[in-house]
Amino acid sequence: MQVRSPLRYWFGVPVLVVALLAPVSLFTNSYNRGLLVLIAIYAVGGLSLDYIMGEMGQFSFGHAAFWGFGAYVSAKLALDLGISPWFGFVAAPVAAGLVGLLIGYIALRRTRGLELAIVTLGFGVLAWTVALRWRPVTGGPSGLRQIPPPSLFGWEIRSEMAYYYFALILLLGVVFILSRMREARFGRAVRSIHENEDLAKSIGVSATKYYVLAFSFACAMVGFSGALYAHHFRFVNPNLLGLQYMFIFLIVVLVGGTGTLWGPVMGSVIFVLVSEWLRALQEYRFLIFGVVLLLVVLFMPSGVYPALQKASGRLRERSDSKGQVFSGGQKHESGGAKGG
Amino acid sequence: MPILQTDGLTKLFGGLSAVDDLDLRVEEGEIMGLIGPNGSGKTTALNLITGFIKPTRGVVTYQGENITGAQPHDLARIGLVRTFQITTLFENLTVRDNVLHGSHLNNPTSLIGSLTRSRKYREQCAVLEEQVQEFLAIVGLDGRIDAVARDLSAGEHRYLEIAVALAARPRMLMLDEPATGLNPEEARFLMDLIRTLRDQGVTVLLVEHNMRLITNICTRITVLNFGAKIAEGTPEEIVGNEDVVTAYLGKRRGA
Repeated sequence: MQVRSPLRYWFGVPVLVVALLAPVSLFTNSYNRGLLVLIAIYAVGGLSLDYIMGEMGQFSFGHAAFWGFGAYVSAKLALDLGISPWFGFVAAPVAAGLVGLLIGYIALRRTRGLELAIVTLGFGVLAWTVALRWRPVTGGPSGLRQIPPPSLFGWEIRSEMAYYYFALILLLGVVFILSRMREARFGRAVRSIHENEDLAKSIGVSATKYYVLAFSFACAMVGFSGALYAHHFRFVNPNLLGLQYMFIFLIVVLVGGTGTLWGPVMGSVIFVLVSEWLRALQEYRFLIFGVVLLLVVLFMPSGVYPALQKASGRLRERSDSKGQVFSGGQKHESGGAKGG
Repeated sequence: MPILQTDGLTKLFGGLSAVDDLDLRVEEGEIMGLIGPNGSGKTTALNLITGFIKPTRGVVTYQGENITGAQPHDLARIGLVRTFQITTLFENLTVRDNVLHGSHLNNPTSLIGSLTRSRKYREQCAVLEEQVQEFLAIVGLDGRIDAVARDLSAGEHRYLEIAVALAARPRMLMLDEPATGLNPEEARFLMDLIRTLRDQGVTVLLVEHNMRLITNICTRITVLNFGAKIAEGTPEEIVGNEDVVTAYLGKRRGA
């Protein structure tokens, strides 16, 4: 076992307590609780984009398209077929994952890096156009309305508070799965391609196969986040597939820190809260975010979470000189072999 | 039957032949040397055999099977594993993780197992960990298991590279100039290591341009110059071969 980040113990428990108490203490009206829901939804979306950026070392400009697609799929099923949102929460990631498989198969056999970003951008614009133009199915520019919320034993999860706890549980589930995946054979294969594709191939890792599957997995995850969005805000429109949300996920990942698991969660908290404080500025918010992003890239190039990790490591070393040595540059938080 | 054989293997780069009509035979259990001056096509030949580039002409046969143009990862699956001329590791990861990644083909864990950390999964991980220790012990890196790869010395880099390759359980290992950048002592350890592997049943194809190093370890040597085979034989035959001496040192004046 490798030494675990002290941040996990120092902040993990208090953060969880804050997360659990937030809707009954700090965020008491339903509008503010809605922000908490948004944090959880963006966090899942950010984590999924970070799976492509942090784990695969690639970039997809079409990520929001999968997000919006997941939202539309779940909304459509509930509205047209009367299918329960619970089924939508499964169907949306499956559908997004399948489309991701197709796009990934087309793109990842040949392209990496910048080329992949451009191919996925093309797909994203295409998907957005379809959502905008295919009126009979997508409702055109005004989208779909009155999407039902999920209900549990006959009780609709309609209040912001209930939906927040629901989304929080799912977010923690996603983080849990992602952390376990890193040590799984699949996660190791993906990471080995990211670290060195030629070496990975020479020891028997089929680079294309694992990258296509990993891409599809990330798309499924963001599709799930989209379904969460659809059944909370209860309307969807083509903007969900567009570049605005793409940039939101990108900010969430970059501000929080790529490849860090908790980074995107933190990034989502920062993004939603700061963007709320700047609400009066309307679209000019993105101007401020541009500056914030610039400052983060300049002064905390690996993101806020790793910077905090490093700082907490330094603090710990100072206060406890014979304590465990903290390795701030470690990419894996708990990447050691199990049973070791 | 040779374990590996190439017939008429040719690679043209824009009309220039990097490898020219190469017939190579590697017998099971031997250490075969592939030598030649810089730029003679050794690495290209290796890349052709291991599927990293596609040959223009010719056939590669491994254990009686035509593997021409097969993907590198499929070749690893049937036991054909290579290392690279420029040391190639997962530099940002620990020594342990490097070898664990190398164990991809022999990692029996399931996705469900790793999500639930079932008892079976933990047992499988314990076995993997043991194997990692074994591979590292073979190459003498068992004391460096938690070091990050990029912090290792040049020699340790090479040894780890071999441990990663071993984790894929090769039947045939192809080493591309493994002694480059090593001091004489490290090079000697490396040669002992290669012998140990051979004794454990791994067939070795050793690409090298350092003649002295290769002559006391290889059973047979093939010499390339300008992509073509100019000599083949035991180390003694090769050292005495006029063509080889000319290729390496140039023509004697007045000869």
